[in-house]
Amino acid sequence: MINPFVFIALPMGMAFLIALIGHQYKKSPDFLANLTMGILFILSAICYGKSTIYYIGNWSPSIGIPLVLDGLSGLMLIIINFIGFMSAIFSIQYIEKFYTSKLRYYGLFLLTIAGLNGIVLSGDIFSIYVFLELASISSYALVGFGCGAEELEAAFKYLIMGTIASFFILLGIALLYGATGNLNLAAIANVVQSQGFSDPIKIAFIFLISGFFIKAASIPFHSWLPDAHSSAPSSISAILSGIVVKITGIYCIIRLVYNVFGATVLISHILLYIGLISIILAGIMAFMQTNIKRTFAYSTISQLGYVFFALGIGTPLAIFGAMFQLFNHAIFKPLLFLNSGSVDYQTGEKVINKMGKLNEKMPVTSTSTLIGSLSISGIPPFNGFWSKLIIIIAAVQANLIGPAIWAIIGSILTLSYYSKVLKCCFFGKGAQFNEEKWKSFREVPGLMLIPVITLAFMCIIGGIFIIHGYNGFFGRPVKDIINGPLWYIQSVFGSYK
Amino acid sequence: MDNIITFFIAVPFIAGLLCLFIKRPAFYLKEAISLLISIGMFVFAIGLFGFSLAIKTSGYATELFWIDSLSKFMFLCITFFTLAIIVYSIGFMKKAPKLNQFYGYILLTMSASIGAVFSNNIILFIVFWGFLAIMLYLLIGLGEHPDTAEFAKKSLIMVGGSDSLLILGSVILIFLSKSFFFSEMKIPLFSTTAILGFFCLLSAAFVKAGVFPVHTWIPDIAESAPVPALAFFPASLDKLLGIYLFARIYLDIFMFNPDIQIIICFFGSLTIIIAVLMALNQHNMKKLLSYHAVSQVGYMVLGIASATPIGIIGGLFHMLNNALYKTGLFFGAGSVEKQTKTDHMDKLGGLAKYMPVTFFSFLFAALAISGVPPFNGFFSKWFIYQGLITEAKNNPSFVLWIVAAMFGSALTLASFLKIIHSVFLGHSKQEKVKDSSLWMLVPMVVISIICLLFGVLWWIPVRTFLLPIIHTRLGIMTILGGISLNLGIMLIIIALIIGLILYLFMTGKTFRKVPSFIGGEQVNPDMEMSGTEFYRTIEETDFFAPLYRFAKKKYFDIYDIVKSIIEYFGNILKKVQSGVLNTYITWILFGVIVLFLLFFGV
Repeated sequence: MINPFVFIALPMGMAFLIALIGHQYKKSPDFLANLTMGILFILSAICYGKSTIYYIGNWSPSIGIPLVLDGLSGLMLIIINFIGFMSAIFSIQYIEKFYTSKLRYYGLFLLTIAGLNGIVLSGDIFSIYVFLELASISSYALVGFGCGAEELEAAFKYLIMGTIASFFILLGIALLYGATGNLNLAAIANVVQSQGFSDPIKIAFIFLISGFFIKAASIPFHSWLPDAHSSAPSSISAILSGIVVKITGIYCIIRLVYNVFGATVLISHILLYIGLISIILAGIMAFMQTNIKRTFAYSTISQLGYVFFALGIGTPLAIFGAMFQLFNHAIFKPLLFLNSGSVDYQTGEKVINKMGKLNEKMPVTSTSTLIGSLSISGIPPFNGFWSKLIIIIAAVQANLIGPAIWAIIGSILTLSYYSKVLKCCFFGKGAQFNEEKWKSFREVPGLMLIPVITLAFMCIIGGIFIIHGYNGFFGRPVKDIINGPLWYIQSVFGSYK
Repeated sequence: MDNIITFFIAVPFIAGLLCLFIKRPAFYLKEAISLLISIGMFVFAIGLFGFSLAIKTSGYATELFWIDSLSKFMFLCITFFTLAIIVYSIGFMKKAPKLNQFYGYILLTMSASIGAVFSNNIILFIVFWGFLAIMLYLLIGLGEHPDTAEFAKKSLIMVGGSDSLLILGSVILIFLSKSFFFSEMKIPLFSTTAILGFFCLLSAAFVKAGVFPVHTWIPDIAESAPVPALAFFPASLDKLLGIYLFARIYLDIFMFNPDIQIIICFFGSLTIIIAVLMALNQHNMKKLLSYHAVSQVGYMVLGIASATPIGIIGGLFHMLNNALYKTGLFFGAGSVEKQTKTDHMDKLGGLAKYMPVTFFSFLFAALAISGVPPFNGFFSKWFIYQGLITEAKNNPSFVLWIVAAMFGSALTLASFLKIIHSVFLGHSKQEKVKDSSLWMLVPMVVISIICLLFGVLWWIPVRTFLLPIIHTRLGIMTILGGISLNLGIMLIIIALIIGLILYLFMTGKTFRKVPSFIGGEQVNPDMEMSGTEFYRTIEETDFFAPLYRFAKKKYFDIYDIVKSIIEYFGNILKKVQSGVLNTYITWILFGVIVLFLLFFGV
């Protein structure tokens, strides 16, 4: 069995190694970072479906830091390391053209990955906080990596809001520690389940969940995201939208709500309606954008609204849909952001009105953007359709027909703003299209196409993950979520010997 | 049976993918593959039709697919029109390099449509149906008009958006019937949930078929999409599939509800009138045809909505006929456009001399669509009127719909007079043009002959294709006895003969034939009035003038209405997302306070 600690130690160690030797050997950051991500991806695939608990330094459960690998964290590990790998391959040539210092880039990149892996593996709320800070601080730096005015402003805003979130989370942890005397998640769950939701625990919970809502960028906590995700280098936008928001926000909320505090009716309703509000309002905002990356950024808020919506419904089928949607979003959103990076790489433009007719010059990029856009809009037979279908079925079965109608309206909105992007950039032309510049465009180099083609292929075949339902790919994580706190307590403490 | 249907779906699908990957130099290979596949599928469809009909007439269900007389009929239609369009395209696509991917898309579309009509599992149906929206988008995108991308986007949003509604409707179906299979569904249409589900499915069917008010993508793509794509989608395939879905949900899946019937009939007759009025003032022949493609749907909807056996037969027969003559008309328009390089009626004229075959096949199709006997359009309209009259005994509101249908029919004839006059008659405004190549003429001629045959020998298609469909549903085989068709035909034929006699005998004696003149001068082409100015008076009457003006500004276009609503809310939201950090933090605090209130306050 693989020691889960390797998921944290390997990228962290490599980050330092890259910082040490990157100056001497110019090619080493590319090579080492991609090698690390490749290994991590393979390891995460091997670990999937297994469960283990590892106490760092073999301290006893009451004071030691446990690393818990269960179905849910296994799924998250696969998502993190796969998308990280894809983005790392893309970065090799993309970063070369626009940005300087590769060794700093890859160092921060690997630290982010280490932080994210740490979050999903920690069974201890304070180490979750520590890893959260690790991931967040490296991503603040990555957002401002271009050092232009816009990037720095976005990074600054991101920093301020992220710090507010961290403050809320830390405050929540302190209150929780005061109320329960524990930092271990399973032990906290034990206390909460036996004592019930007392007032201090409620206050702690509100602060925790507000902090994580900021990280997950749900409306009205969302306002940092459009700036940050659109100003970052595209390979980093792919990481941010594809995994950082999901792990630092949604994963933590799922863990807290379903495995520690238990989902009450009120909490479910909050998730449901925050999801719906995000779907609709962010959808309308995305419709109004003229910057390709800002459109995608708002779309992230809107699409993750579906995950919250499904979590709020709370039936096993809905949880299944939520996991599926989360997974699918981790496929097509990085695909779209990487493609926006390819477009930027060739044209140097982010404003859709200035682009046009790229399908003649960049066939792979435009076809894969088409696939990604159709998937995210829930057009069959692509993967996004299946997850939305499951969520809608779950909503109607739970007799939430009104909310289901809003979710469908959100889906039509999604289609409309994506087809706007498709029209202006790829299949038609924008208002300020420049014919002269257009003639010199070519398809991006092959190394940048590998991740794009892989992700597009996964969008096409993504529907197969639905096969076998609860016994299939998403079976374990769904069981871990719906079995609730008692199961989590048992699985953490039961297996310690 | 599953295996053979999987085969029907898989073969064109694989061939389509193959065509997408064949590069330019081997273009003839694409043509050969698609021609072979479409001929093969057509033969299979005939085979399936004959074979299973002999063994079993009632529908039966297997796991994923079902075969009943309706789906077999649809299969035959799909393969026939695909074949016709592929043959036509081989002629049309000569020297049109941008249309490289056309054959691949056509074959993929064929595969998905076959899948859609045979699907018994509702999820499978949605998958095929949604795939069609993508193919529609890609096919329209092949056009070379400057606005192509804009209108491709519009149709993707409308058709794809209706797919989302289809998903919701289907999920409600699954919820209500506790089954994934069409064949097991029979849902009473009275609860709010059922009505919501019904309207979701109905809107998907209506967007596809093009019923007011969700028809607006069809006239828009008419100018920009390539002609074979027009003949394929709005003219034939989308009508077939949209009406298929409508018939399925209205007749099979949901039980009858008279209030819903009135709503549907209302939209059906509104479609007839509005679309035909819009057609009257068009200057672009493809756009004019596309408004008729919308208008004719109203008849099918009315016929099926009457829920009488004769009306349903009329509706389905009209669906078939409309697909035939509308394809023929678009083929004719494409042939004119290909030879003259324009589709504006102002710039055309006198082509009957140069393109006689195109002219006659266009004329046949135009007579058919206008409902002139003995062409097929007359008979299907006749059935529909019969159905409406029968139903009017139960439901007096049907008198209104009959009037609307007749009014629409008259205007249809009027607008075809305009197109025939301005394109084919009058003075020639073009250099010498030749008639199109044989690849294009053959399907046009075949289709116009079928239009005539299905009229003269109307009982053959009705008995072969349509009666089994009615039979399995209502158990009626001998409804044709109740139709007083012969008297009507007699009267019309007598009227025609009298007209002919009057024409032959009167003209020779009372009038003298001279070339046209104005103010004593011979008319030269500059002075001639173009047919495009016909019916300006209608446009300028007090009642219609504002309506036409609003229509030109797209006030009636549901797409633009919804778009401006979204933009209104979007502008409000943009003010909130101001870029000022303090505002953002206020929003976060607001959220936290709301959470506190929820947990403690209430």
